[in-house]
Order: sequence, then structure tokens, then C-alpha cells
Amino acid sequence: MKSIYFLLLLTVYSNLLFTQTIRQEPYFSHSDSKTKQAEIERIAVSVNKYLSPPSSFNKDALKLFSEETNRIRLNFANTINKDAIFDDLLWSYTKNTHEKIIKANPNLLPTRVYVATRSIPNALSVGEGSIIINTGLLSELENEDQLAFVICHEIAHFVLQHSKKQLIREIQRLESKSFKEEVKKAQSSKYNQFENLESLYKNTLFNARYHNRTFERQADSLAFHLYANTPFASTEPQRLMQLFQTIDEPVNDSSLYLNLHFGCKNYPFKKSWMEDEKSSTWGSAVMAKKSAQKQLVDSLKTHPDAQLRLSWLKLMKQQYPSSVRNDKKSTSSYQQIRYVSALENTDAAFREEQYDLTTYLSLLYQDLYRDSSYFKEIFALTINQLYHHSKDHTLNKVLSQTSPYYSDRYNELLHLLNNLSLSDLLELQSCAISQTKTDSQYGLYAHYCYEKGIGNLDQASKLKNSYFNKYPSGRFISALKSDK
Amino acid sequence: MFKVKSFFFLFMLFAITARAQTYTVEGIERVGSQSIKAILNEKTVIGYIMFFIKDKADKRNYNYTFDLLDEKLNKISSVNVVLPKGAILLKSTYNGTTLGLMFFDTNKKNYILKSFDRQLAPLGTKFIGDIISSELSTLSQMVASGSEEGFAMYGIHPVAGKGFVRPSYGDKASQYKITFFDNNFNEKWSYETPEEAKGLESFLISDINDKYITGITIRRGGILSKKLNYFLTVFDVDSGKKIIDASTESKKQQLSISSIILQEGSDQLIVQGEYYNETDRPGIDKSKGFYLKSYNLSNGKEETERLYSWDKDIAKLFNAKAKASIENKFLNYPHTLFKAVNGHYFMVFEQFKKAIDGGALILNLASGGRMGANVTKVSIGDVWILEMDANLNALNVNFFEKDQHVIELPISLGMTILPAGQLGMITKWYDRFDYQFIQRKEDGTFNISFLNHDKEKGEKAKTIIGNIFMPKDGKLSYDEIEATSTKKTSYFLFPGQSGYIMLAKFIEKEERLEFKLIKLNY
Repeated sequence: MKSIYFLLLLTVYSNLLFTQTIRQEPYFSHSDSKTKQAEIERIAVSVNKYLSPPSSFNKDALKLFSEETNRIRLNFANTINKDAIFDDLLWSYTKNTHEKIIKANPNLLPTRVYVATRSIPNALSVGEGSIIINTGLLSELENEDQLAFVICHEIAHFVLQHSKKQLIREIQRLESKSFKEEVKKAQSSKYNQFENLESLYKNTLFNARYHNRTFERQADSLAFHLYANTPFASTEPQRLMQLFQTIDEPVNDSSLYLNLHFGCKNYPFKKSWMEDEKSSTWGSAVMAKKSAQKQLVDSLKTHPDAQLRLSWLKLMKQQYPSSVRNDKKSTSSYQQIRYVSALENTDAAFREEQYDLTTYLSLLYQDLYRDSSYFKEIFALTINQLYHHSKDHTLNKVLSQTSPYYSDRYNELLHLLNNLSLSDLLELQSCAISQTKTDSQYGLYAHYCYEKGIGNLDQASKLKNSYFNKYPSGRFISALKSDK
Repeated sequence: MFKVKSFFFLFMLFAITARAQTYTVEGIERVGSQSIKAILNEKTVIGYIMFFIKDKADKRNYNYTFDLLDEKLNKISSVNVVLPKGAILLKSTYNGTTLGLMFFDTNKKNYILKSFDRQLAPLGTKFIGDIISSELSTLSQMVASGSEEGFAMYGIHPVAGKGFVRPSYGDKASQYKITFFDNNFNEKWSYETPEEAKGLESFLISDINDKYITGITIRRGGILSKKLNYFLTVFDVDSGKKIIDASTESKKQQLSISSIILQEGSDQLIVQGEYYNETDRPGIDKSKGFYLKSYNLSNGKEETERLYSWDKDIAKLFNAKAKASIENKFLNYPHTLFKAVNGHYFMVFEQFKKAIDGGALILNLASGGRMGANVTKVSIGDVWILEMDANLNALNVNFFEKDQHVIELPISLGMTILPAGQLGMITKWYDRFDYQFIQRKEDGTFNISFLNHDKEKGEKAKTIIGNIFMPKDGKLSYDEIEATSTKKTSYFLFPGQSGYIMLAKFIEKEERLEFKLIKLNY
């Protein structure tokens, strides 16, 4: 459960955000390509340096090791090219926090920190010194202190060589005589071959990869040690673990009234949009399944074992004298990071064509950041995209159906989005567009898409030219140029 | 069928993904028309079942798997079933509470019937041996050709909530038998042509609900007799008693029976077909119109007869294309009659006509399938919907043009001198019409899906799914979706939750089966 106090605080700070010169749109730059290329080249060197195979590996094991490290490189390159941002706010802020940690712990191996525009609240240690922090995590944290502990935790994974150890352990397992025999036996089994292989798969690899508690505990332990050397508040690692327990839950969406966002004076909200064609016969089966999975639910969380980790941290904290700690949390300066991360999360969902998530985030943040025009503009653009996908019968690619695994409010939104007819979507576009202006690039592009969609080509052409003049390096230049 | 290529391929195999309104399974080698079924609870789609062969269980048996998805493509459960080596799935059907599966053991030459409840818990198993030789012959052809269509004649049919009914030959070659099983495949009753009956007799099942099993009995005086007589036959589901066995002949016109439709919520059935003048040759001469005849099931009496003349009643509602189709001697098979959200009745027709003459289908049918084996070609034409007011007065026709195409009915039937109406019924039995299904809700909204094998000049045929949709506003709309199968890609169409269809796409080369919910536009 999120702290009500915190949300109140956030509402106050959200008003302050718009009086400062913080960017009001997601980051976009054509000039990052050189930086990205340099980072991709750098990882090739660091993978060789820090993810080298043990000398005991035979030819087959070396081949597997090489394949895996190559996969790590490719994944990293993909993240850098697609999701990483090199801006002077989120990246700079995160780098600055990272530098404070390094300054307080000067003997650490070199590490680098990146920010990826992904809405999943997580962070990752690549294994060769690179640390990736998702904007989905930045937007959920409450202050820089918590970010510092996250970075310490990921540094600890690198220092303790967890990625490398995990990789070696997996390959040793795959190459072990006993495992090979098991595979051979399963593969050559005359009967129930599939079941034998399935069982082998589940019992070995799945269980081996099932949340490695030992590594997490080690990383927390070292992270706390690193963190203790910094000037950050000693209370925050524990607060972070409390946050992780509920981080997958939606941020206070109880105030998200869909009837206030869908419809307008000319096209009022329809109750029928919220009707759910419930499957009475299967409901019980689904719920039974859900109940059976309840035991596993913690392992499915983005941050499993948060409760356990909280108790470890409490124990660790007792080992450090509180007199040397500075307990003043740096909350106020962090609000702009949350806001800009919210912009990035929403934009990442839009870029990934996850239009249910984009709608959800844009509405949620519209209520939270009332003075921001971006969330209204991206909402209008999303309705426009839903209209076109509906027309092309490709909604199934961009919009989910309800599921017992989603929150009630998210399911309500999905009912609504799935119940909208093509003509509803067209009218709702009109409603949404009336809430936006053409004085920002997202607003201008949203108006262009709308006018083009309704066949008002002259007006669309004017808006297109206006965009070219105002934003020659803008986010939608390529889309507009290719849109004849 | 799953095929595990290597241990590492297993990673691929388990890459079962569900994103947005799709569900994808990797590692599938083959998908048959019976491999996937929509599961309906009365009018509502509540999910889908996938059936796969996994691997060998022992020397004599194979492991089969059933996966169950809900109507939104969330996976519910997976069940393993062991069946003899050489078993093939002939029919999977759902009666609202129970899933019934019919297998054929190609080694032992017997049928295996199995039933499961909604959660796929096993209910009952039944073995049926002593299959008549001509039936075995049909099965052998089917196994050899890899087609499952030929089995429509002998399959199981669902009886809402109560069990399944199976038509078959009787003990004598000239007889027929129908057997009713409960949900556990325990035989509850059977009816067989009485021993004292003279001549040949066969039975074509038509509509079934939880109270009645309807069909047409075809009788012939003897093996050399050319005169065929048609009777409306109705059995009571619970007692097995034959409650109607009435001739549908009319004194003034020749009536061709196309279908029997049980009316929801009443003890009434409607017989439908085309009518001809006394001297006309049905199926060859142009029909004069179509008729609706109602029967009261509680007393077995005919209640009303309503004739709709092409010239007087329907022509004024037809456009030029529709009028031409009647002139071209197309017949009209009625798929369904129902009441919609606007309070009006709708009848959905699909046009068809014999593509060639000659042969001896009905002789074959009435003699228990032992006559000559000819291919029967049928041209499948357009779809049209007749809207009628509450008193069944014709109001409006919506005509949906399709590209004509010719289908071949199974060679073992050789059905070419079949009277007009029965040709439609047989085509329906073999599921060869382009009409696919109607999806209706309690509130009277509906959508109807049919296929159109659209072929422009110089282009390959495209498969278009035509969808006629009536949402709550009562305004009929039409939407098209392309789903052209190729050598590499096959499509399977299923009903979806209200306002949707479900399209399963099998990409053979990639061994991938994708389920997609597609929303209909209106």
C-alpha cells in the first residue's frame, strides 16, 4: 500500500514542477547515436574482461559460455539502442547518485549506470559493470537515497560476480555427466518422452533459475556496507523494501474515474461501455487456478522476497551505529525525477504499442500532474491509434482482454476499451483532441493524426508543415515524412 | 502434434505466450480441423479446447493433451489422456456441460467415446465395435485422405446438458438406428427401424435441443424402387419415444424439405424448404418459393403453413443480383431462424445448386450407403438474410454477394439425384457451406460469420470472413476480415465472445499456432 502522506506530498510538489524549467515532454534526440555506439563498443571490451570463462571449461562448455556472453552483448546493445536515454536529467541525476556512491567507496571496480525507458519497476546488473535502471523504477522511488541503495545493490551483484557465477553454474550443470545422462535417458525414452523432458526441464533449469535467494542476500549485505559509507539516509533501504512489497500494485488508481476521461459534451460517456460479458461457467475454474497459484505469487513479483529482505536489512542496520548516519531524506529534489520518469514510462508504453497500458498511465498521470499537457496529448494519440487498429482488425496486437491477474481498475479500463465501437473511437478522438492544443509537438502531432483520420487533408497538411517548421528535429519527423 | 526435436528445443516448446488478445503455442507440427473447438454454453462462447498428440505412453498407447482456454484466451488447464496407438479423433463436441470426443481405433476397428466435464475431469468411456462394412469403408477413405469431413454421417451430436446422440446403421442393411447416451456415455435408449418394416429406411438428423431430436426419415419401397418418401420425425430425448412421424407432402405443391428448426422457448418446430408445382422436377425446375410449416410438438399436429412466393413476396425485396440467382435455379438453404434485439425474426439463407447431374445419392443413402460411389459437385452461392416482423411477414432482404465455388461431397455418397432440399441438408451435414456460425446473446444481439472465397480476375482466391453484426442499437452492420490460407498458413475460424470472432492461424514452417480474437467493426 502506498503511503497517503506521500501522495499528498506528491500533489503539492507536482504543482511546483510546472513553475520550474523541467522538460514537459519525453526525451528525444537524434544526436545520441554516437554515444550509443560508443557504449555498445565498450561493453564488448568489458564482457571479455569481466565475463571470462574458467580455465577448467572444455570445448563444449566454452562454446556455450561464448554463446551466452554474446547474448548478453546483444541484449545490452538492444537496450542501449531502443530504450536507453542519455539526457541531462534522468541519466545525469542517476550518474550523479552513482558517483556519490563511488566517491564513498573508492576501491570498487569500475561500473557505469544507464537509464532505460521501461515501465517495469526494476533495475539490472548486466554482469560486466553496467547497471541499468528502468524509468518505471525511478518513478516509483521516493527519494535519491532509495535510488542509491538500488545502485549499491546492483554494484554488489557485479562485485560479487553473481552473473558470472550463475552463468558458470548453469553451464556446469548442462555439461555435467549426470545431467547429460538424464537428458539422454529422457530423449531416448521410448515412452512418455515429452513428459520426461518436461519434468527434467522443470526440475532442473526452472528450479535453478527460480529466484536465487542466496545471491540476493549477499548483494543486500554488501550493498548495505557500500551504502553505509555514503551520506544517504540509513532508514531508506528498509523503506525501499517496504515499497518493493507493493511496487507491482497500481499507484492509487482508486480515484481514476473513467467516466471523466471518456466522453465529452458532444459525445457523453455511455454506461454500456463498462458492461462486462462475464463468463459465469468458467469464472470458478479461473479463480480455482488463481487460488492454486497464490502460493507462487511472490516469485512472480518484480521484487520477490521483499519482506524477507526487509528483515535482513533490519538486522544489518543494527550492526552500524546510527550516530554516523544522516537521516534527512532528500525527497523534495526527487519529485522532478518522478515526474519526468512518468513521462518516459507513458511514452515507452506508447512506443511499444501497448495502448491499454498507455491509456492507463496517461489517465493516471493526468490526474496526478494536472498542469501537464503531455498526458492529455498522448491519450488523444492513443485513442487515434486504437481507432486505426480497430479499423484494420489488429486491435488484438495492441489491446489486452481482461484477466483475473490484472487489478480491478485495470480490468475496468480494458472492458471499456474493448467495448468501444469504431464510431465510438472516432467520436472519442474528437473529445480527446478538444482537450489538447497545437502549441506542443505532441499536441500538434495529435491534431495532425486526428484531422488526417477524419479526412480533413487540407488541415492535416497545414499542421504537418507547422510541425516541420517548429520541430525540425522532433520526435515525429520520420513518421510525418513517411506519411504521404 | 508436438515434436520434441532436442532438449534445447524444449525451451521453444514452452514459449507459450499470451499477449494482448492473442495466444501462441510453439512447436506444433500439425493441426487438424478437429484439433480446436469452441466451447459454448448455450449461445455463449466460454472458451476453446486444443487437442494434441504428445508422445507414446507405452507399447499400445499414446499420450494426448487437451488444453483449455477461456473466451479471452487465458489458459485454464491442461489434461493428459491415454489412448490406443492408431486412434484418431473423429469428432469433438460440447453440449453445454460436457465435452464429448469420438475416436476411431484404426487397429481394433472400433469407436472410443470419451466425455469430460468443463474442467476436463474425465466422466465416461464407451467402446463401440461391430462397425458395418460400408461405414468402415468411409472411415478407411477418410484415414487415407487425411480428411475428417467424411465422418459427419456417423458422428456424435450434442444434446444440451443431457448427453449425445449418434445415428448409425441398424442391424440390417436396410435399417437405421439412433442411440442416445448420457453425459457419461452410458446408453440410455436407442431406436431402430422395426424388423417388420418393409423397404429401406434412413434418417438424417436435423435440429436437436434438450427435449427433442428431429430429422427426416427417407423411405423407399425396395432396392429397385425409385419412389422416395419423406417424413418429419421427432424423438423425445428423455424417453426415446418417436413422437412425430408425419409426411410433409402437400396436396397442392411438391415440398422440398431443407431443414427443421426447433423454436426456442416453445414446443414448436418449423419445417422449411422450397415448393414446386405438382408437375415440376425439384432441383431441376425453378422453385416457386419457400415455405414455413409449423408443428406443435406436444400433440404432433401441423399448425400452420406459410408460403413465400419468389414472385409475389420476395422479389420486391430482392435486388437485381438476388433476382438473377433465383432465375439461375439457385436453391436456398436456411441455416437458422431466430428473433433479434429489434423484435423481428431473421432467416439466414445460403444459395446452392447441383453442379452436375447423374448418379444415385439418395439410392445410396436410403440403402445404407451400399450403392455406387460418385462424386457430387455442388455450387455454393450467396448468403442472404430475410427480416420478418413479429407475424412473420417478409419486410426486408439483405443480400451478401460471394464468389461462387464448387465443392465435392464425399465420393462414398454419390448424391446426385437427391431432391433439392436434401442436397442442402447433406451439404450442411458435411459442413461444406460457407456459413460458419451464428453467435447470439440473451439480449438478442447477434453476429453471423461466413466465408467468401473471393477471386478477382488474374488473382489467387482470397478467403474473406464476412460478418453480419447486430449490436444493441438494432442496426445491421457488415464487416469483412481477410484470412487467406496458403500452403504455408492455414486459418481456422471460430465464434468468439459477443462482437468478436476467433481466428486460429497455423504457420506450418514455423510450427506455430496463433489464436487471435478479432473485434468486429460497427
